[in-house]
Amino acid sequence: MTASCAAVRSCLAAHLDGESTPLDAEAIRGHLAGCDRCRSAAEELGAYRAAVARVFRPARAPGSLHRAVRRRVRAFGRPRPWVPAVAVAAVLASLALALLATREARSRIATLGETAVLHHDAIVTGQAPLDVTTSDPAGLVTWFAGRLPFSIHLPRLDSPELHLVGARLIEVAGDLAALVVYRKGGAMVTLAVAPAASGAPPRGSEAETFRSLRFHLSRTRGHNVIAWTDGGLAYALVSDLPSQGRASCLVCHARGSGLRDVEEFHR
Amino acid sequence: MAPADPDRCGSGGAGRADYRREVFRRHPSEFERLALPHLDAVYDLALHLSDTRTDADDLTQETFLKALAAFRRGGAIGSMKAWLFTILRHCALNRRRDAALHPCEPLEDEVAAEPAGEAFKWERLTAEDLEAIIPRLSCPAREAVVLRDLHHLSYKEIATVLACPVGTVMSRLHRGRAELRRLALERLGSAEQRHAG
Repeated sequence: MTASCAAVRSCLAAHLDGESTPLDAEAIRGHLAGCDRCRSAAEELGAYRAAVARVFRPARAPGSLHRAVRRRVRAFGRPRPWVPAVAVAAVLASLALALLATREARSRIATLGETAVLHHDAIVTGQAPLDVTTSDPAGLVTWFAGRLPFSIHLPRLDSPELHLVGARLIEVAGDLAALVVYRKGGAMVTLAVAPAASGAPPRGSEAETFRSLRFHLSRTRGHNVIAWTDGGLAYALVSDLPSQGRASCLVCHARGSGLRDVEEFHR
Repeated sequence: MAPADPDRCGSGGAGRADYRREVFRRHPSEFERLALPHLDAVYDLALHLSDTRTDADDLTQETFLKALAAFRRGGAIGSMKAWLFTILRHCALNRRRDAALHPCEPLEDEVAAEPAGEAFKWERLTAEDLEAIIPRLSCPAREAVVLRDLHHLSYKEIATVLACPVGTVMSRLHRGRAELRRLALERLGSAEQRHAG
């Protein structure tokens, strides 16, 4: 039994719009093949759809509106204390100077370690906020997924001394990289992770080889930096904690940290 | 996992165990990534629902701020674009109500007659014709035509935006297309008469 004209007409628009209809698509096509009036209606609807697709160009929001929406979205939820206009101007001027200084410094950066130190300082002094604040390593891995072109794995720390604080995305030699921030006692410990190609060893570093990994130890801008590459990724750990020999491992691998015991490294 | 498809977002129904993960997904930067690619589409629809460009600007900003607040609270289901359109339409309706303007009343007769009469050569339609005709469509029909034929929402998404059954979407769309055809015939007919004169 073939579908009636009335039944086909009631489903025709939905069928051409790619929607499901009570009538089987095959039944509609079969009816159109044998019915001039319904086929003509289908052709006109098709011509209408093609014409609208040809001529319709959605309005583009003005650049000022794009900027306004982006600015308001980014400012959402931030406290807005009353600040005199002069103070605002002074803060903006100092921020601009800091930005210029940072850009100049960036142009001199050659290694992941140096980049990590720059961001470490900016975070410690409050110049650069964290993108995300969390103590949950699994949640942070999830947050990085989709934002980074590589996967990172973060250990679940059980140490009462070493705490995950949060993270931000950074750029190293044109590549997106992760900056993970920990706190140990009163000190900030920063771990930068980037594709291995970005991880040239810091200038003037000393190398220590442990099993298959080669660790580069250096002092950069007053901080201790431990840099190494593993599994296609480069790592740089920045802190003010001791970073020579066994002490360097203890930055993260302290007893009860949940990571491999440092004694395993230094038997 | 962060959503793979930037146009899709979660149901917002996360349990307590997933709360922390949900907090990450509800970060304003995530909203920026998911929602701002639709800013042009939202602005275009705002123009169709507003009388002036200034109103469309305000409506667009109000839409994104309300959407972000709802997103942070766990809102947003399915398609981000359709969800933004839903919020935009609510904002537009509220503004019209506050300004004591006519709301977008449903059509008395949701089922439209078959378009009849002379055939229309759709290939003659221009962008200027469409721009002039769309605002003249009756409000419910215009909403359906704009959402389907200009912004390519599915019938189900349109039903969500307009808060009506899919069947009503179909009849409004049918009505809107028939009105558009009639207005196009009028417009092109008078243009031909002007040429002949």
